[in-house]
Amino acid sequence: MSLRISALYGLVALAAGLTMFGLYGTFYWTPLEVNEIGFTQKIFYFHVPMAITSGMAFGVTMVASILFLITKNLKWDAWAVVGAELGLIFGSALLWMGIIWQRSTWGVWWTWDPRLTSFLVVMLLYGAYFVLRSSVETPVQRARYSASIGIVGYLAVLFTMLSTRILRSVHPVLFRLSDSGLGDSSMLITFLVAMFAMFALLAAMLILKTSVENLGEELDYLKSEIGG
Amino acid sequence: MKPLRQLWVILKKDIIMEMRTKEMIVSMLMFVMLTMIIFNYAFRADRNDLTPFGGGLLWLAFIYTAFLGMNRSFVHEKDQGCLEGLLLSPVDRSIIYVAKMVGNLIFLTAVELLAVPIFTMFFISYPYYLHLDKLGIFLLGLGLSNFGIAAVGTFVATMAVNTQRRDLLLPILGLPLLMPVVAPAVMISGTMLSGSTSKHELELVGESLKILAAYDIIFFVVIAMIYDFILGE
Repeated sequence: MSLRISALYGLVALAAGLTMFGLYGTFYWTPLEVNEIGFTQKIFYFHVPMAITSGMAFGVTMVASILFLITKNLKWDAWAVVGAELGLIFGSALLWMGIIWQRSTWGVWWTWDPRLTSFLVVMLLYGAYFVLRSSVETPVQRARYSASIGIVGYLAVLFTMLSTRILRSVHPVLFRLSDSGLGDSSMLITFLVAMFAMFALLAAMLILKTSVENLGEELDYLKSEIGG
Repeated sequence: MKPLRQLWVILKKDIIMEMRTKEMIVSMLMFVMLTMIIFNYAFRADRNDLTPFGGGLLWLAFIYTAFLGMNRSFVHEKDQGCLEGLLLSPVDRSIIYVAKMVGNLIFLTAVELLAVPIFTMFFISYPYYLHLDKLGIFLLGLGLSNFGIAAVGTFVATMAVNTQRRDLLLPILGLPLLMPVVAPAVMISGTMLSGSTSKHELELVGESLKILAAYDIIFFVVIAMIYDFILGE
């Protein structure tokens, strides 16, 4: 018990430390991008890690959904919800960062770029996941329904990305890692640190939130035991 | 042989009910036509030619019509207690799914086949898609898209009818799941409606057909596998 908690504290400290270093690197260490993008290029260091992290969080939802349907253990339902929640949190931060970047780079708030389009669909899909959850009362039925959407939804995410990219191939893909100019080693290190910072943050938040969810379920059960 | 017969019995029940009431097809068709009237306002279509937007407008009308119809298909089952009967009968759950899905597919296709000529008359200056080389692709695109819409829509509608929000849930949950169908569907119908001969666009139509086929197969199989968990009680 105590070992688990100290490991968790360690993880939180790691996430905080790496994030601080990532921010320091972003603002003070890395050189200014000399091409046309300039200062706003610095959004990149956290933008891309956040995109990957949010994809991973939705992936957690999918895996936990499959495990729930196999094992029928409500523990996995908690993991699935927390995955979707964190995916949405990282995702909305990502969207706002992207909007700021576009506005300063291209002068528009929004473009129907394939990645933006598919990401907006994904956000709305996982928003609907929570609407579904809130409209089912019994926990087991709620878990079954949302698990099946967790699986089918992830497939839809993959297909949305595939189809928007293929069908819009008239336009160039706008962000690619090789175009981002990570030539300087400080840039690469900052980027990798930010990446691990976001991974550690995701892991810490996943563990914390699932234990909160599990406690909530236990509380509901105990309440129903005493007829409350 | 036996599963096919079970499937046919459930499907026949839906078809007979629809033939008697004509409820779904008539209301879906009316909805499509009302949507078209709004297109006329939206584009101030005094020249009556919306060919460049044809594909998108067509699917805008069709996708919401599909939701309208598919919601009904389960409200009946639930309210008249037919769903309990189906669940009690010794029929595999995935057969129930396939039967309901095929029913929805038939009704949706019927409405679309009635609506496309009306849409053409209202908004399309020259029906290029009726040329023999285009008609096949146009209909194939329609069919593959409808298959995907029916597959996912039937699945979401089953859930929706068992929740508190009922018919509200199908569009907000179904539409994001169906975006990978809508995008290629618009591409195919739009290119066929405009009679475009651009090589690049025709290539994209080919890609769209592939995406639709892959979507249909994968989603149909996965949903048929997990449908048990949705109906299970």
